[in-house]
Amino acid sequence: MRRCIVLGKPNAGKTLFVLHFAEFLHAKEVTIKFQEPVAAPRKGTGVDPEARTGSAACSLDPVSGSDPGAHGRNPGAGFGPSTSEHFKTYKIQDAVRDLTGPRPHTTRCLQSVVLELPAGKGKKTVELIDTSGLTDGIHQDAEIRRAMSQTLSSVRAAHIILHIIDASKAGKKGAVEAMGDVDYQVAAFAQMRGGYCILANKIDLPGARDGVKKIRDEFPGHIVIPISALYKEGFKEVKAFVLREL
Amino acid sequence: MTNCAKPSANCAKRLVNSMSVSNDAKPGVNSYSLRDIDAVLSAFEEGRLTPAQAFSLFREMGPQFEAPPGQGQDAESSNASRLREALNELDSLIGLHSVKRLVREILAFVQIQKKRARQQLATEHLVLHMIFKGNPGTGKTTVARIMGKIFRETGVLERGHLIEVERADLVGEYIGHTAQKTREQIRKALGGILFIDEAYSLARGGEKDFGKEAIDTLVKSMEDYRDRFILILAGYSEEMNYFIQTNPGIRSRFPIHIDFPDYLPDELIQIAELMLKKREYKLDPWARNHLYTILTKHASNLDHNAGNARFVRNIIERAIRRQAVRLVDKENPTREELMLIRREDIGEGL
Ligand SMILES: Nc1nc2c(ncn2[C@@H]2O[C@H](COP(=O)(O)OP(=O)(O)OP(=O)(O)O)[C@@H](O)[C@H]2O)c(=O)[nH]1
Ligand SMILES: Nc1ncnc2c1ncn2[C@@H]1O[C@H](COP(=O)(O)OP(=O)(O)OP(=O)(O)O)[C@@H](O)[C@H]1O
Ligand SMILES: [Mg+2]
Ligand SMILES: [Mg+2]
Repeated sequence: MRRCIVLGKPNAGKTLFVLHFAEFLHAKEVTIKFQEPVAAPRKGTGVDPEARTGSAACSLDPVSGSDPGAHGRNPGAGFGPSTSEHFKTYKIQDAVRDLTGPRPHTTRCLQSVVLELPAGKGKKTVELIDTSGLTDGIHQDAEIRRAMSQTLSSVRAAHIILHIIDASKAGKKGAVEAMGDVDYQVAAFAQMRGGYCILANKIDLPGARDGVKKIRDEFPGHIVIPISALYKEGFKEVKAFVLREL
Repeated sequence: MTNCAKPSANCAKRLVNSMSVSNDAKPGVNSYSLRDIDAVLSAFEEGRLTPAQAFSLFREMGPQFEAPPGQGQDAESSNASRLREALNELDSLIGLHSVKRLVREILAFVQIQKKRARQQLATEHLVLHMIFKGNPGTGKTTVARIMGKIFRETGVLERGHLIEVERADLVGEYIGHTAQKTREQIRKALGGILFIDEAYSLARGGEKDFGKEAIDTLVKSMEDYRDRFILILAGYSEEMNYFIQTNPGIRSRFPIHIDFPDYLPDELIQIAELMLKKREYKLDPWARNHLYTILTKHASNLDHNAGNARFVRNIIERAIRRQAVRLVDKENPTREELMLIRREDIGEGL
């Protein structure tokens, strides 16, 4: 199956995009595969092996303690010895409530859904992978670094990269969501790979129009699709892009 | 491993240097191994690199696509089984013995280069652009398509799809138009194979012809998108030989030449039967005999159409239509009757 990775800075709206895009494609429920890094680090890393126990939830739960790990845990599968995966099925609105939130680093592991896109008479399936947000600097929290490391390692194996930038904060210096180093490096990396586009998100918010223009100026030669992950605007274009790359 | 107290572009550079197999190793197919990617990820997890620096290191490692880590084994075994499938498909082609042998040689070469890289031995840079020489309908496109699959499963190509074009798809009407059209086709072929049929026609018309612009654009893209697509130039043997001789720039960039000989009448009959079997039809003995006569006669004409699988396909497809006409007024044709192609359906060739 083709893999499509969704990445970007923290709070850019990656998770909301994934969930609403699934809904846009007529999914009422989503089964999410959580692939979380397990405590035992890769050889040679200096991370404290006790830093994280297997039972912790994958997302920082913005509401209460509903642990997505409660269902069908499957340790040892997935990303080699250093991850464990489990699945949980949500109604879209419940997933939005539980897995998105205004705080950065809500998502702390790979969370993927499988989507079906209509193609001619048939259907094409794609694994859409939500990731942990990437910061410009080095994060002091080892757990978050490990989560970001998953994003880095899965990007190399992805066929399609959707790079989300918060257009409402694109030019706001100092905001975690502001466009920064990592955005430029992602674009430069993706340039030589193809199958890449930028989603300029949150166009429903004030100031976002200017943000979209700024993103276009900063990333000439890249496809920029303005979207609102909240109101599912621009999703038709995203769908067309993904289909074209499948 | 290099230790960097403070992350900086310099530190990232040093890290990359400490990782490459040798200092003159170019970022290409085999110069970096997964261990190096692991090294970047470890450095990142230890807090010695920013995400931006990690991406810039990835970029230096080249665009090589990787199977997802971990799913590794699954992915690897399904790669292996899809590779076997593609090889079966190759084997199931009728005739083409020398072509099959050469494809296996190339595959072996690719696989050994990979194993050598894993053992940190010097590797040859893989240049897999090819020239296919032979008459139309000798299976060139069919073989190219299978090669795409083989290269995909061995990790040489990201997608392995085939974009088939000819002169008209590349050459435009005014200055600059050709480069634009050619680049567009290359873009579509990235990750796969660009197959140019009757490629020699690009050199027709001499210096002033826009075909030359297409050739120049192709040559440039072969540098710009090294390892990202494979270019196959196909056409009649004589024309291709002349084309190669008169375009030294082309000659030096296409190390692999494959000859597609015409099929023998026996092979053509087998191809016919294979095509019919796929469509759930069969020849009755009279029809088979008659078809054999047509094919032999045709082959002895020694024109470009001799030994042509496309010729066979046309005969078959017309025979299927004629059988339908023959049966359409019949009350209750049996299953056997619906499958059988008779002599009269074959007619007198084309
Ligand atoms: N108005 C508006 N808000 C949005 C939009 N997309 C996301 N948000 C809000 O932005 C916040 C962050 O959204 P998430 O989907 O959790 O962002 P994320 O990129 O997954 O963030 P992390 O997982 O923390 O890296 C949430 O409060 C969302 O409701 C949008 O298009 N419009
Ligand atoms: N050796 C073969 N064995 C079985 N089928 C064949 C063989 N060669 C060609 N065919 C079939 O014959 C049909 C016509 O083949 P044809 O050679 O025209 O395709 P092609 O590969 O595009 O030719 P080319 O590019 O040489 O003009 C195709 O359906 C192909 O599958
Ligand atoms: Mg958030
Ligand atoms: Mg999230």
